[in-house]
Amino acid sequence: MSSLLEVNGLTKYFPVKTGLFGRVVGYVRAVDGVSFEVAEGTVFALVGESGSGKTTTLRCILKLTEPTSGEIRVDGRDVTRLGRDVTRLKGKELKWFRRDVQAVFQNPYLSLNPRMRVKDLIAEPLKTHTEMSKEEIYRRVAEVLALVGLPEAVANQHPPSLSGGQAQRVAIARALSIEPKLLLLDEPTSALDVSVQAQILNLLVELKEKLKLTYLLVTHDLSVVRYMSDYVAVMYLGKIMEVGTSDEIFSEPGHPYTLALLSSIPEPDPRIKKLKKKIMLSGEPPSPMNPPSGCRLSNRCPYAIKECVAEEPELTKVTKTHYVRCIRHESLSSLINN
Amino acid sequence: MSEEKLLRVSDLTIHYHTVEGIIKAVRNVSLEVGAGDSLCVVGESGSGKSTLGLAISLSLPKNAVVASGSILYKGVDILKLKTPEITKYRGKEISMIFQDPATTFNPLFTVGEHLTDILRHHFNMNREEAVKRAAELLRMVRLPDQARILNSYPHELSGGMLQRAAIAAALSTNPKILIADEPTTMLDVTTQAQILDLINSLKRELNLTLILITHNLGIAGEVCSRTAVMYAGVLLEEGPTEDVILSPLHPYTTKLVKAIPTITKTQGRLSYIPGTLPDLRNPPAGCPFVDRCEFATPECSVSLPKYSYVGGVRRVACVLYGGERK
Repeated sequence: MSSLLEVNGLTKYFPVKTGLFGRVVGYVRAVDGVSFEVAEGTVFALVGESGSGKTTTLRCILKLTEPTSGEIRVDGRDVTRLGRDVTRLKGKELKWFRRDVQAVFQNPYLSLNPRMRVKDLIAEPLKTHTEMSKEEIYRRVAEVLALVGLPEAVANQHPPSLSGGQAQRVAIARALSIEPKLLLLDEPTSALDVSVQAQILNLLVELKEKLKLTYLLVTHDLSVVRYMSDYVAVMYLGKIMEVGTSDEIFSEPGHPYTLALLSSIPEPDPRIKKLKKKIMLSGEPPSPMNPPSGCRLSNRCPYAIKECVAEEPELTKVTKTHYVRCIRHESLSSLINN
Repeated sequence: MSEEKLLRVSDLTIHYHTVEGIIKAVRNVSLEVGAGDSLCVVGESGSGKSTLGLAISLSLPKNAVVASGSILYKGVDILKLKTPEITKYRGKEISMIFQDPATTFNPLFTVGEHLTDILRHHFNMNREEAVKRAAELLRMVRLPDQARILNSYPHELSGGMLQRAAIAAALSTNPKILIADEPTTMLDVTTQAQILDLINSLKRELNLTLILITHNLGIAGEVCSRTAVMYAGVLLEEGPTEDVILSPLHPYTTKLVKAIPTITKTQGRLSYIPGTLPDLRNPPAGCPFVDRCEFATPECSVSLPKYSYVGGVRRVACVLYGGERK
């Protein structure tokens, strides 16, 4: 199994400017040294709350923003410097990358042009990336519409006349029409109702198996992560706090922040609720402009000690796949039960 | 049920008049909430749950028409009140908090100005007293550094802090009933847990009657003793929260519960509800769920099913359960 996507030491600092002349007074460290690998055919999830840097990471990978430093490799090829000038998106060197890496965003009504018919929306990437004739293109459009479970009649409609679930299916169909290898999913079901969310999640899992796709999923919803991910990275204030397989993160979380996230989810089943140990973080996430010294969670963590404030912990190995950024992770289980 | 409940909604029907036609947002909803009780109204978008909340808090928009029914608060039909009378109830006896705290506050006024305005209007306080009471209220919702927050503009506070301030504003008039419409939907999970915890303890401390409106069944389980499930404007099922979640009666609730992914187990495929919500301009005459229900019979399309009572504490509007009239 080789890695389709490799991210090494990715950082993205946004300058904070002030006054008439835009003097830079500081930097928002949105992504601060993030590294991970996504193996072909797997689903890798980035989870975190607002301000954790998960969406900025995704935008850097998609080349929608220029990273401050770090390296992104797709299929072994360095894409960090491709088409360096963002305005030069037509650059030939970028074309294979745009074909292999596609994305589905949170709100389909914003990501689909309301004035285009569904069939033209899906045909657009085919026109750019393939040499297909008009008939071939529309045959392919009908094919992908069937693939995502939409009736043929939808082809002639405009996005605003579709329901949220249908519109998200169109967005998925458009992304898949040119057979990408890697699909980036940015909160793909957060704007949908529960019953529709279930349909879209099922569809994504089916498509992944059928088309042997690789997903990078960005979401704040841990139950969505649990449902479809193989690997999970938990982010907080621009750093990965814990990374591991889905089973490791959900059954044996090693970081107090992961535990707090897990215990914050309102649990519908009252039987499980009674068993669950609640960990509540105090306060709110500090500004990413000046994160606390030492461990970034130290000012909110119920188990923080002196050493936590002194030095920023490294990601330490627990198992071959499981890494935790906490100096007390070994004693965490005994801390919780006391 | 012979004792008079604090709030009794009977046969409430609300229509919105829009350019695209009349939208039947709430249809023949009846429910009762006793003093100190907590009721959760659960539903997806378009279920009418927010309209119901707005009706009870007397805050319906101008294009909403109450086509039938009554809302009795302490025996008074508050829908029949005239303007000067309404202000004795709206925001005073019945208060409401909303999903987005940023739109609750006017961005041009400080949090302190908002709070003291309410206090001076309702209690004839002078400025000094009002400021003192406002600081107390902020302490009650566990906001630190009250003096600074009173002087802050809404944009200077985070979502969680602002929602706490909105709760303080809603409780400043000592209301009997608090209606919370998706109070944590805009917030992060760890902040959501804090706000739910706050609502839970304020409910106990102040003996509040709470009506919580949400799309998230998990929140119902965390906060409320009873839960009502709405779909396409109709109240389909009501009962103790634990029973509704663990052994739902209505086919819609059954499917809704199964469609929620949880972190406690990995499952194969999620079950989902085929089809879409009916058009609320022209909803089916019978059960609103009839087109999507696997147990639908011809009888279901005739008229709205009557409530069947199960075990004395639960009711469900479905022909599967016999359907004897109350």
